[in-house]
Amino acid sequence: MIALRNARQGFTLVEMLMTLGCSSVVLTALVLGGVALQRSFAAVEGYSVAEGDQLRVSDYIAMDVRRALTASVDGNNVLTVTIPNYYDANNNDPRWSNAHAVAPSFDANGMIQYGAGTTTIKYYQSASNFIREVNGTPTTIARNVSAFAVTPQDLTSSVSCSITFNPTFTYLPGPGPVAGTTIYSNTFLRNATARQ
Amino acid sequence: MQQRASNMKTNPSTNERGAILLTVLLTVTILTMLCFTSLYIASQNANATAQAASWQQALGGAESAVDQAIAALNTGTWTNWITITGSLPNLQPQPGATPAAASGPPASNQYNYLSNSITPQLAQYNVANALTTNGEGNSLVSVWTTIDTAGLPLDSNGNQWYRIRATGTAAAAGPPRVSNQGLDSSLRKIGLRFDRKTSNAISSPQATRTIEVIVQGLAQSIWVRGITLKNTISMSGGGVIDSFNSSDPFKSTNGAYDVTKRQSHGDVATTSSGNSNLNNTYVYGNLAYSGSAVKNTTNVQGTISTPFNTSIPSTSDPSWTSGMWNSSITQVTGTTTLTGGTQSSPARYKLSQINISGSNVLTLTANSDGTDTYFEIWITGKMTTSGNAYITQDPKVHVTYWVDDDISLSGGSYVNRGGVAADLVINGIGTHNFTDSGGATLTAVIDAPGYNITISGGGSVSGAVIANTLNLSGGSGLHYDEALNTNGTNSAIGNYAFASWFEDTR
Repeated sequence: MIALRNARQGFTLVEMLMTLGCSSVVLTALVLGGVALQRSFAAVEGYSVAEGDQLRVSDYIAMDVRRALTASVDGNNVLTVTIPNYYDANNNDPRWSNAHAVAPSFDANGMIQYGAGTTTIKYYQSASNFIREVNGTPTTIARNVSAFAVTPQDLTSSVSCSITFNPTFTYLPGPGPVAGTTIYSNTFLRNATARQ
Repeated sequence: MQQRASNMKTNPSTNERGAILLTVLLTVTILTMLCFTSLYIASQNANATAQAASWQQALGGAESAVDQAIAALNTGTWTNWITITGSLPNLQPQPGATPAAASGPPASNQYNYLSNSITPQLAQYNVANALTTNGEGNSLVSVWTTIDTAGLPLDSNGNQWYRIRATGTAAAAGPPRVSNQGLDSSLRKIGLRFDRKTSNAISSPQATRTIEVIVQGLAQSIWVRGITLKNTISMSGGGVIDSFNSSDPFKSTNGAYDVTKRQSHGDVATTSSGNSNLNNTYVYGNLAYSGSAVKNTTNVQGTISTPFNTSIPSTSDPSWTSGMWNSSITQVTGTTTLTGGTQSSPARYKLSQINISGSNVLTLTANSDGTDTYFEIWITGKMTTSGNAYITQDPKVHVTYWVDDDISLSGGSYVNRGGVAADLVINGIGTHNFTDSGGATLTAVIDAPGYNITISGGGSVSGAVIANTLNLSGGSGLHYDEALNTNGTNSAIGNYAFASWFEDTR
């Protein structure tokens, strides 16, 4: 009987409680640490993505405004710029393989022109997306946008606008301590000024 | 039995050690994966940022190449440039082993070429291989640029315009890996394994940007400074000489002088200073003179230099023949309204005098259709306003006067409502006097190299002056409009400026 009891001997209650307690502490620490790591990673990733979006929007607008002939904004905060038709084809989507540069010439007013007509590029917010539309073909160039505005000004010399992005990572419910990140873009219209 | 019981008690301990090992291994594996994933994503983010930075650097390189081209055109210095006969290629030119050194701007069947990345020029002209920078990320930017006429004819001034194409290439630090910012690809077009234009294999990722600039030759202006005199300048009363730029919103407000946007190019020069005295009034610009030292120059904010020698062009009456002007009006002595013409056919009036007094007003009215309106008025006698009388010209009206006698503006003086100095040109012919004693600002350019000009009454001149002598008193000053520097009448090219700027985003 003694041998049988020894063979079935397990942990004592105290041992079990100690083991469970220690295990719980270790596992809880692991889980909390893992969650914290994931949360930190998600926050950093969100920051990086947001920064990439902000850079891209700013760079797109600056690139197009620098080469624009005209710039205007309507009541819905749609920024419209026109650029020369610089290519012999596919001005909507010029690539090295499908478009060639045309030679400049003088127009009737003695100004430089390339191909006939112009290419119209619009920038606007659509829901939470930020759109770049080339001759009626829209492309999303950034997401998570909460506001876009063009500063009222003399659009014959420069274009100033602001784009606000929602925070992509919020720990607290609701918008969190940061309501959003706003970037400001101020670009000189080189061609418009050259024509003054 | 006791021994067996002891064994039975120790076996579970062995199993426990195995469980702990497994748990530790699992935990370490999970943590390692977390760390690895984080590092991988972090490296991707760094990669995307480096590519974006290189994309910006490439544009900086291309713009610096354009600057080199404009500098060569402006200065006529073509060191390191070569001239290649033929039409401009789509891709980077490949000159022969002994290219011809450029000696000037290219002819219509040629183009000039400068690069810092090809062997022939390295050997022949000792051009540095690339621009290098210090710091994190990319440290290598290479550029090349061409200049050609692009088949453009001479402009209406007989000047040749040039096309400058420049390409900047910046190495994108990091491995040849597509950015994790998926939407970046169509914007930045980073070359990872191949050059996207030549399809040649590349050893490391790179960003390439190309811009095309058309430059036009600008006339060498006679209005290169605010005040150009043959003889003395006298100032008193606390007026100032400074500058603004009516075409730059950062240097003017709605095209008009704004003291808060004051510039420091109100230069003053005289070829014979005589008894010049600035009376310690402020000059926000440089002073240059020949002759005796100008007195009381403490508050000249720029440099003071001597000697100053220049040829001041003389003025002369227009060479009109009978029938070229509106003969229905021969003089203006009361309230009068004159109508204008177009740039190609300006309204011309030849008057024996303008002499208005009391409350009379001479109005130069704009075309009713809103187009620019042009007047040319030749006054063979005096031009005088007195009392409350004044002359006014509407916005978008451009007037050129030739006056053969004294000019005296008082009372309301002269109101240039457009506020642009270039729109009111007063040419004084011969040796006479010009007096402006009105309290308002006279927005004009005055080319009267034989006139002794006196500005008093507190009103200033906004524009520029060429005269024999100049006396600014009673708080009157001069605000030089820097925009005049491109509006000269001398056809010699002073420098080149952008007429068009375009980035080729293929």
